[in-house]
Amino acid sequence: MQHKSRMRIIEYAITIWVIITLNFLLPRLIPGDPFLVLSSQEAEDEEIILSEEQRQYLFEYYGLDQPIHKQYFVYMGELLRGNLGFSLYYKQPVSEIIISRLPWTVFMVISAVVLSTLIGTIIGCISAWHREKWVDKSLFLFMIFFSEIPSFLIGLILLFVFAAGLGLFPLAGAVTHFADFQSGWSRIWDVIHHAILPVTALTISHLGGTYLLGRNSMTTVLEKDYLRTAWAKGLSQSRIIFRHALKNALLPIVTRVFISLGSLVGGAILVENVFSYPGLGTLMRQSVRVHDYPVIQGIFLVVTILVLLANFLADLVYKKLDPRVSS
Amino acid sequence: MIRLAGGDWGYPTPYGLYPRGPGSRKMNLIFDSLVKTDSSGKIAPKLASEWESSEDGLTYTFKLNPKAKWHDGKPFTAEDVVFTYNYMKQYIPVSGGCPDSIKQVEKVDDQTVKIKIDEANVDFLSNSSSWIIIPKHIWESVTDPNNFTSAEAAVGTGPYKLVDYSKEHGTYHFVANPDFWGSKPRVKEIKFVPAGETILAFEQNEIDRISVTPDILSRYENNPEYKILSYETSWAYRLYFNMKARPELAEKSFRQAIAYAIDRQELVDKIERGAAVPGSPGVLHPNNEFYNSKAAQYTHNTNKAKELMSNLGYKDADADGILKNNKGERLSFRLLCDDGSARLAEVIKQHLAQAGIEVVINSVDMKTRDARFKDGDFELCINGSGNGEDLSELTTIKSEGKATSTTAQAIGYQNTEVDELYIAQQKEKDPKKRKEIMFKLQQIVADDVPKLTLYYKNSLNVHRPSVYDGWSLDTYHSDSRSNFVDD
Amino acid sequence: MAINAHLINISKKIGVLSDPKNLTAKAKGHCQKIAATIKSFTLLGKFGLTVVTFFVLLAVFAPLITVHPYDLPSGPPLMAPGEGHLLGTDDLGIDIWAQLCRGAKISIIVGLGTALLAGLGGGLIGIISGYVGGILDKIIMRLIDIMLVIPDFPVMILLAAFLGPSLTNIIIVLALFSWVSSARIARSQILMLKEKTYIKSAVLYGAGTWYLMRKHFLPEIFPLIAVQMIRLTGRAIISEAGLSFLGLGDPTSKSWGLTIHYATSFKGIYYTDFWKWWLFYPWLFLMLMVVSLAFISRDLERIADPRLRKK
Repeated sequence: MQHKSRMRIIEYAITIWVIITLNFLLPRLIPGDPFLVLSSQEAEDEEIILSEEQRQYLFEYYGLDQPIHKQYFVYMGELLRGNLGFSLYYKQPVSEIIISRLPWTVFMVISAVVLSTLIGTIIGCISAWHREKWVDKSLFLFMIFFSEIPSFLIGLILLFVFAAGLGLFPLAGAVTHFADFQSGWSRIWDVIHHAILPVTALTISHLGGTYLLGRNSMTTVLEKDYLRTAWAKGLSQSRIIFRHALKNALLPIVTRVFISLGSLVGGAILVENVFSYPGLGTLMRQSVRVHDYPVIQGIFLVVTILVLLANFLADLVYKKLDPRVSS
Repeated sequence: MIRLAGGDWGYPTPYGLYPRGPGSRKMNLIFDSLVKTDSSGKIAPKLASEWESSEDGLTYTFKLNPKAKWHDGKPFTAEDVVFTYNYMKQYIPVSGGCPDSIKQVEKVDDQTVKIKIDEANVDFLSNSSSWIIIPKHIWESVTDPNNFTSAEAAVGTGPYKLVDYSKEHGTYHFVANPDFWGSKPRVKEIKFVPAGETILAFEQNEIDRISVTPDILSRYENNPEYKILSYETSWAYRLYFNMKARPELAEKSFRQAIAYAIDRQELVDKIERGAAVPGSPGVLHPNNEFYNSKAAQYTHNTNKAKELMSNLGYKDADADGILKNNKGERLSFRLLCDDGSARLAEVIKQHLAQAGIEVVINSVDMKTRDARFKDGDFELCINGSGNGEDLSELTTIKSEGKATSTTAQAIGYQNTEVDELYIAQQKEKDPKKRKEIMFKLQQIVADDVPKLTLYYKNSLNVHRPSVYDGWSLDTYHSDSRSNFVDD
Repeated sequence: MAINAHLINISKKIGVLSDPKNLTAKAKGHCQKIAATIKSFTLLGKFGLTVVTFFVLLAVFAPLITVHPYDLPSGPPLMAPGEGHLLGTDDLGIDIWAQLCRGAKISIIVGLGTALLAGLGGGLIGIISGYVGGILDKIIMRLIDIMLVIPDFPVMILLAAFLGPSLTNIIIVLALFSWVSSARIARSQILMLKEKTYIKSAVLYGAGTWYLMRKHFLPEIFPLIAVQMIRLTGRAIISEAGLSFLGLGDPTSKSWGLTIHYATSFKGIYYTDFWKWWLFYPWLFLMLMVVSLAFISRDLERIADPRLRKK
């Protein structure tokens, strides 16, 4: 057992090393350099062309004139000291940029996870309770249909119908700036108002999974003997659901919560770009555009570590909750 | 108070901003240069109240404005100018750097500096109008200017003080400087607020001026609440022919055929929905003071293009719509563009196909495109730029160390007459004679078409006159200093 | 994708792993069997099959059912759906219906291309890994573990930017991140089959590697991989649309995602009615295609999994 957990740690270490190396190499493989600015796309933000001298100076300043293996060792060394580097474009430590953006992404993803889990489970339970009846059947069809639509497509249609068409929600961003809020509550409402559509898009596309899980485990539990006994004892419906059934359905649902964090990241990147939400997804797209290596690497590293962490937690929680695994 | 659409363009110092116009315009609210170029192209005083050049044009003496003071109350002196020059030689700024041609900057007395340049150039003063002076007492102890973003870094002599900046949200807050040396700023406060959707923000009174597209102009027309100002800009998309990669393109009439084949008016109508001016082959915008309307125009004519091609020996023997050379090879070009101009490339492809030339679009991201453009790794390339009017990019002369000065070299274009004329106009002090040289230059360039200007974008701006009606008619940039202050 | 495999992992732990024994008979695809399979589809599966068939027909017969070219303007720009242009035109005056028919073809090429590359490639890796075993198996397993935790979409963005936008590159990038599930399935099948008595006795009687592969392993593994490939097709289409939406797709491909990208990057589209055809129809097509493929694979997985079928 101990050997196994040691293996597990070595595995994680190797994985992280591979990712870091990939992370270092990939952005550098993209042709083009960050200081060559020859064009623009709008008359409003026309380019300032840097002279050769300036470019050389910046190359040296950021150590990009060094041979690649040297850059690699410097990068690894700095990473070990917890330094993610300095943005070439934003002229700010990468960690600061990421810390300013991360909360928005985390806020969005966590809200979506919590909401989709809660709503999914509840609907799943309702479905299981009415198993094989029309309620279950129509719910099933409905949920399966929506769960298969990718979140950014849901986001797009929400954006156009509810924000652009009906004008019910803001088109972009996460907060209204420089607004004079009457109270803390109106500020909170402002944040929520901006987050509703993106979070809804993510939630809807992840509802199906939890729904199915909730429905299946509930059904299994409902067929168990002890519940039949509880039933026979004349316990009330809600008591049966909440005391017994839900408790047993919890395990797969919790495991799924952690695991779905990873897949939500991909969806979140796109959804953020649909709503111009100021999280890591929009930052990533922008950094790829301007070839800001340190920022790309930073985002990638943070995202990967978070996903790894979620996986690790899933393992842990699973062991904690399921006596069969820990024994 | 005026609110405008924000967005993060970096810390508005010569070292902190991003290499884009909005960043440098914000910097110009805070900092001053010695002189400026006014809307008619004349040199006007800024930090220097008067100046004179020596007979040989190699030495300039500037008298500094005694009223100028730094935002923190310290006086502005010749020391600052000398310091800025030396500092910027050591640490090269992103924007606002001193002209390369300067050899030496010397303090004569507290209010006078003498600047020596290496070669006479009539454009020296206009080149130095972008050179920003920074305070010695603040920057002398700074050894990592790229990282210097404390509040002092934004101490300048200009009309506005920066009171707040947020990188995360892309917000800037400027307040008028009561001790400004020039005339009183007309606007007390300028706020740049992030507005993901500027139109919505404008309609909800969150910002006071926006740039719009023709399709939504009708929302503001015939409404006294709004005022629309339309500008023609020199920002343009241009098509470059790489004669090194494709020897066929070295043939002048081949390039002319392409110019005939592309319907520039349709590009304007489709891509910009009419809000642009079709490009003139002589490179300069029709409203440029040096514009020569007599230069070749190549009005759209597919038959003319076909005729030129057939004179060159290209035939469509098997009638599949694509011309072949005498070896029977299909006439096909790769057109390099970035994702922003892919749509434009598509229309060009259609136009050239009508003339029997096949185009394969090769769209990459902007940075990659820029790198390949510089290295000459393309056959045809579309470049969108606000800097393309400078004809120096068609010469083999290295000017002001700009990366585009390699363009002529990259595309394999060389015309000694163009080089000579360009140098001659640079040295010509008589404006009339200079204009004549420029006319000649454009004629040659239009005849040679080493690059084809596709169109110049127009800018449509809407504002609320009730909030502020002092917007400049000379610049379409809402964040430009001339909207808020007469120096 | 990583998650999909993870769920397999979890379900394995929970004990819902499929028993593929019954599968062979089922999937020895003869016409009757296929008909029977389709018959056993749920309502959603049948719906999916209809839609996908519709799109395939659209893609194949595109030149016959479209009046206008998909890459040339054929009317005034941004015309609302109506006479001459069933679904209107885009900003260049190109017929939307023609573009969408072309898009169906692109989607199918990307989807199938990726699925074939990833499914067959992954399957092969899995077979080798499982059959050869030893150190090679260990390395491949480690690689698979790493692939499982790497968040795929961010890397795809990077790779797409690095390789440059072209249809082939997009397929390669997508395949690079989709082979793992097939490899795992193939490997676990091989490992299980190797333990079977009939295989062991075949080996004893001197059956060679190729014989075993052809006669026993491939027929067992292929149906499972095929089911997996339908899943991959759907995923590839979504990912291509996502990359195109971010502006990283092939700008000349006229895929649905690209049409959406151009529509959303049209300045001020929110304030015009243009989106009601320019954006909506590609959105609808994409959504239907993705959902339908998911329904089909859901049904196929159910049929392939006898435990689920019993219920």
